Amino acid sequence: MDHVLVKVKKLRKKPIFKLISDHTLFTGVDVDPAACVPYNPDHNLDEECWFKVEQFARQTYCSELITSNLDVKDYENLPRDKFPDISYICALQGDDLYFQKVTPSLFLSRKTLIFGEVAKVEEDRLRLVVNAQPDAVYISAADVLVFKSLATISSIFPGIDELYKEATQEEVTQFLQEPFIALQNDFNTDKVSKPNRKRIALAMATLAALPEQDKEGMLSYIDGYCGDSLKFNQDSGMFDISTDNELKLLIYGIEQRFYTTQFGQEKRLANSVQALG
Amino acid sequence: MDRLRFDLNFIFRILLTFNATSLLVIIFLVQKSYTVAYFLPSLHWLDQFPNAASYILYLTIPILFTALSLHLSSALGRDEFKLGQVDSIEHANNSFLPSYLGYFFVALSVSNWETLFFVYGVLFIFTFRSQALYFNPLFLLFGYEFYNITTTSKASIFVISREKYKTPSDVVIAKACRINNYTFIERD
Repeated sequence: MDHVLVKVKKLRKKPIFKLISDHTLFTGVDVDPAACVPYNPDHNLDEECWFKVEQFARQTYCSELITSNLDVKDYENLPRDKFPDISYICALQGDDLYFQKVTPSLFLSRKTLIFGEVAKVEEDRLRLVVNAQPDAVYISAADVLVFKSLATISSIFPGIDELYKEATQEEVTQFLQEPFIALQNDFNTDKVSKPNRKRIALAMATLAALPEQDKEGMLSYIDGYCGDSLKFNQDSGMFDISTDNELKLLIYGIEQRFYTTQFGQEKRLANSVQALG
Repeated sequence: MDRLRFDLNFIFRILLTFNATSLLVIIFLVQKSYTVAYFLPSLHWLDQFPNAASYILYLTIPILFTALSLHLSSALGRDEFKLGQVDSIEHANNSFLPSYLGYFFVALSVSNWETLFFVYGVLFIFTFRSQALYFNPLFLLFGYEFYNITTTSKASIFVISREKYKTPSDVVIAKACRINNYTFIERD
């Protein structure tokens, strides 16, 4: 039997209630955890793909709904007056848990026409819209949480945003002081965009892992691909960075996102990558 | 506006409260020998029936309402009991006796209509507000048994069922209707 539980806002004690049983809320999401992408803030997800967090039950931000041995009878029925305070829905379908975040815009209170035997007018009853697709699915057999957007589910799993890495002001400043970067046209830390801050956080790790002797090769690799769009000063061994876009190209270079196709020798840029094997 | 809407659970609880407390009124009527003829003095043909016929008639009212409430209970919210979710089970058919003896003695000492209305009103409200609506021995007439069950998460719940359960592993219920958060009734 499938059950639907809800978490209610503004309640410190027992915030989880039972909403309804014997109803399947979401159409089954058939995802193969092996085909999902481990979460990476810079990854552009394909439409049918999901991010995943493995060994989810062991993570500190895992929900008690997952860690506890869930028995729906332990949860009380949702009182009517708490209905507008629902913060998320958790549908127990089979062994898996489907989560949907509830935002105020999902509550509808409008006069509606319903077509049954004859059309019927429903007065302004409060309705909660169920999305076609859940925001997150916990696949218990594989102990994997799959989701599309980390920002959406961060209120369902408090603390999960630790997966989201964005360089701090100090880290950005530190990165811009790398010996191969020459700032031009008053470009400074404050002008670095949010997406680039995410990329810097990852690029710093890549740089730190790069052996010293490969650094020079990396610079010529970047220069070889960027040519005119990113100015490289051969004598000083520095890239002139004057815009956010140039910084982006440089970071793509550090991440080795440039490549040449094996057949046709076309130069390309991968704006999203996935490690194979 | 929202409060006035049809709320099955509310009606169901009113019905259960009535069934559980109606015995007080019946005992009062029996003790005072108030037959149907007493209430309808204009119908002289009623006098030929023995008093017992009236008392049986009184008793059928809560029995019919109990049957109705059992019928309605299948529309309540569902739950299920899976294997391994029950930690301990205790047969509770006798637990209605102390509270029912209380009803008997109260009803026997009620002397007039005014007292009856007051006592019954108070009893009705408290039974309705308490979670004890299920202490209705009339369920026994319909073959139901009462059980106190402790789940593996140590929650204590009350289950009304036609099945004869003895051990915790017997309790596997595909469709249990939730009367309130502590009371469940098994439906076929």
